[in-house]
Amino acid sequence: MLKGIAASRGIAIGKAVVLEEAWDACVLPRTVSIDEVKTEVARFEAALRKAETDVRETERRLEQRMGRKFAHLFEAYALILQDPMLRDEVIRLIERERVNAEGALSRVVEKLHRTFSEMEDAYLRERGRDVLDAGRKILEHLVGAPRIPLEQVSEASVVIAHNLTPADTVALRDAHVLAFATEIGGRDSHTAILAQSLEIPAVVGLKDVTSRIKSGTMVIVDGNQGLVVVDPDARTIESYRREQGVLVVREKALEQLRDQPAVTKDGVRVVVAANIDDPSEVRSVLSHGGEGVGLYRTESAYLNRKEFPPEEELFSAYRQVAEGLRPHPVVFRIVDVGGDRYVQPFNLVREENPNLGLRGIRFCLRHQDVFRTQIRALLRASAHGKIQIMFPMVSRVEEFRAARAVLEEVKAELRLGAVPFDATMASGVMIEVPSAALTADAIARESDFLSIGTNDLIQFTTAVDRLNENVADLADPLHPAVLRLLKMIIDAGHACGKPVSMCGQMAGDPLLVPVLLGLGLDVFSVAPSAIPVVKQAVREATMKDAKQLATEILALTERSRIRELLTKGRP
Amino acid sequence: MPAKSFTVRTSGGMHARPWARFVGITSRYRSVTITVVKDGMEADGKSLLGLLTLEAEPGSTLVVTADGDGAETLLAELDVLLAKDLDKD
Repeated sequence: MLKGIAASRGIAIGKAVVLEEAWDACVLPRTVSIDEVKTEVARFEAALRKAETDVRETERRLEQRMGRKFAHLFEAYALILQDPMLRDEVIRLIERERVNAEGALSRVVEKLHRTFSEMEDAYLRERGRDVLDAGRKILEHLVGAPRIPLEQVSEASVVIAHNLTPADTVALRDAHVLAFATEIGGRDSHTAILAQSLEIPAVVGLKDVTSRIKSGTMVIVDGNQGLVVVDPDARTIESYRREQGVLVVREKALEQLRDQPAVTKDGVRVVVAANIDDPSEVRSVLSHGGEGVGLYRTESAYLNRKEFPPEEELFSAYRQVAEGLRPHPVVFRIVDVGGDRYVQPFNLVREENPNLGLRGIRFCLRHQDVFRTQIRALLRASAHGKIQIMFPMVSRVEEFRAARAVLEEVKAELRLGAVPFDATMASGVMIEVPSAALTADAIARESDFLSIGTNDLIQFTTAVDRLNENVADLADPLHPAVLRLLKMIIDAGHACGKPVSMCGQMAGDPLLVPVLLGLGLDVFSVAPSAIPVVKQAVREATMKDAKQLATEILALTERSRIRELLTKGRP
Repeated sequence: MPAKSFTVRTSGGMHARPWARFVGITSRYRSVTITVVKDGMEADGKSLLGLLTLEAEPGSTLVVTADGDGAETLLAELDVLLAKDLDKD
C-alpha cells in the first residue's frame, strides 16, 4: 500500500498503465558535423512549431470541454515555447557547439529548470516544472515518440506517471481512464484540479510509484484517503467494491436527503456535520446537506512553508468558513502539528516516535506564540459566525485547563483592544487518547463538549499503526475495548449535560450508525460526501432498536459475532 | 535610446500572468529590442522566462529600455499596462 496525497475523491479499481518519462529515455547528445548543423536547426524549429500547434489544439479542446478557466493553464506553455530565451539558446548551441537538437534542447531546458528550481518563491519553482513539460513536448516531436501509449489505455486503466501535464490529462480524458496516480504534485497541482473537474479519483505525491508498479498490475486508487493499493487480494477488492457501491447509492440519495433532517423513525434528532480542511469545501458541505462542520482541520495552512501562517491569513480563512456556514456551527480543531505532520519551521526536531511525541496540545502549550496567533484569529472570526474550538491530543484534564487559560488571556487582550469576538464561544476537547477517554468524566465537567477522534483513539487503544499494512487489519473500530471506551465517553458527556460528537472515519460508516445512535452519539461529523448516507442510515433506524443493538454488541467479545450481529438482516 | 522606469503595482508581484500580458505587448514590436533591468539584473523584454527570473515584487523598480522603430509607442503602451494592479484587472 502506498500513501500519497488525496487529490481528487473517489475509488477506482483497474489495471495500471505506467507512462514512460520521455525526457530521461530519449536524450542522446552527440556532436554533429558542420553539414548537419543546418538540418539540426531545421529539425528543432519544426519540432518547436509542432509543439506550439499541439498546445494550441489542446487548449482549444480543453476550453470546449471544460470552459475558459482551465484553458489558462496552457498560457504558460505557449509562452515558453515562443520564448526567445529558449529558442535562441538552443539554436546557438547547435550552431556554435555542434550539438544535435536533442542534446542542445535538453541542456537548455535543464539549465532553465535549475534556475527556476533554485528560486525562493514557491510559485516560480513550480514554473520550472512548466519549462520541463514544455521541453518534453518539443522533444517528443524531435524523437517522434508519443508519450502516452494510447493503444494500451482502455476504459479500465489507472494511469501511473511521474507527472501528468494538463495536455496528458486531456488526452487521457478521451480514453476515459479510471484514475491517476502520480509521483509529484500537490493538492493544487494541475493533475488535481483537472481530475476533480473530470470527477475521477487521483492520488499525487506518491514517491517512486512508477518504479514500484508495473503496467498490467491490478491497483486500487483511493482518492478519499490518498492511498494506492498494489495487487490487492480478493478481500480488499471486495471491500473497496462495497465502498464504491456506497458512493453510487450516495449520488442517488443526495437529491432527496439534502434538505431532510437526520431523525430516526421514532423521532430522535441527531446532527450530521462535515469534516473539512479548506474554505473551498464549504459549498460541498451545504450541497450535501451538512449541518455545519464538526471538524475543521486547520493543519494544511501550516504545512510545507517556511514560517507559521500570519494571523491575518488565518483570520480571513476562518471568517470565510464561519460566514459561509452561518447559522450552523463550525468546530475548529486547534492545529495538530508535530507527529507525522511535518512542519518546516521545526523540522530540526526529529522524534523517534512522533505520533506519541510533541504534537497537538502539547506542541501548542510549548510553542505558545503559534498557539496564541491561531486563538486570536479564531476569536476574531467568531464575531462573524458560530465558531467553536477544540483541543487535540489532550491526555489529561490539566492540559485542557492550561489551554483554556491561554484562551482566556487572549480574550482579555482582545477586550482591551476593543476587538469584537463571541464571548460565548464554546471550547471542548477532542477525545482521542485512551487516557482522556478513561477520564472523560473529569474532562466533561469542565469542557463545553466532547468530540471523539476515532482514528487516533483506535490506533492508540489497539496499539496498531494504521498506515502499516502488516497490522492495519487489527485496527478494528468494533474492538470491544473501543466500543466500551465510546460508551464511557458518551455517558460521561451526558452525565454533565454536554453533547458528544464523533469526527473520525468510524462516524461515516453507515453500517455502524445504528450502534453509535444506540450508544447515544449526538453529532456525526463525516466527509461531506458521506453526509447523505449517514443521514439515510439515521432515518432508517429506530432508537429503540439501536439501543438494543448497542447493549447486545457491548456484551460480545468476538469479532466474528460482532460482525454477524451488525450485518444481521442486511442484504 | 528611450528608457523609462516603472514601479511594480501588481499586488502579487510580477508573476507569469502579468508578465504574459507584458510579453503580449512587447512581442508585437518585432523590430524593437527591449531590455528590462531590476536591481542590476537584466532580462530580454520578450522572454517570459527571463522576466520571471527577475522576481519583481510589488514596489520594486523596473527600468525598461527600448531600441528600434516604435520604441516610444511601445513605452507608452507599457506605461498604461504597468500603471494597473494586474492581479485585479
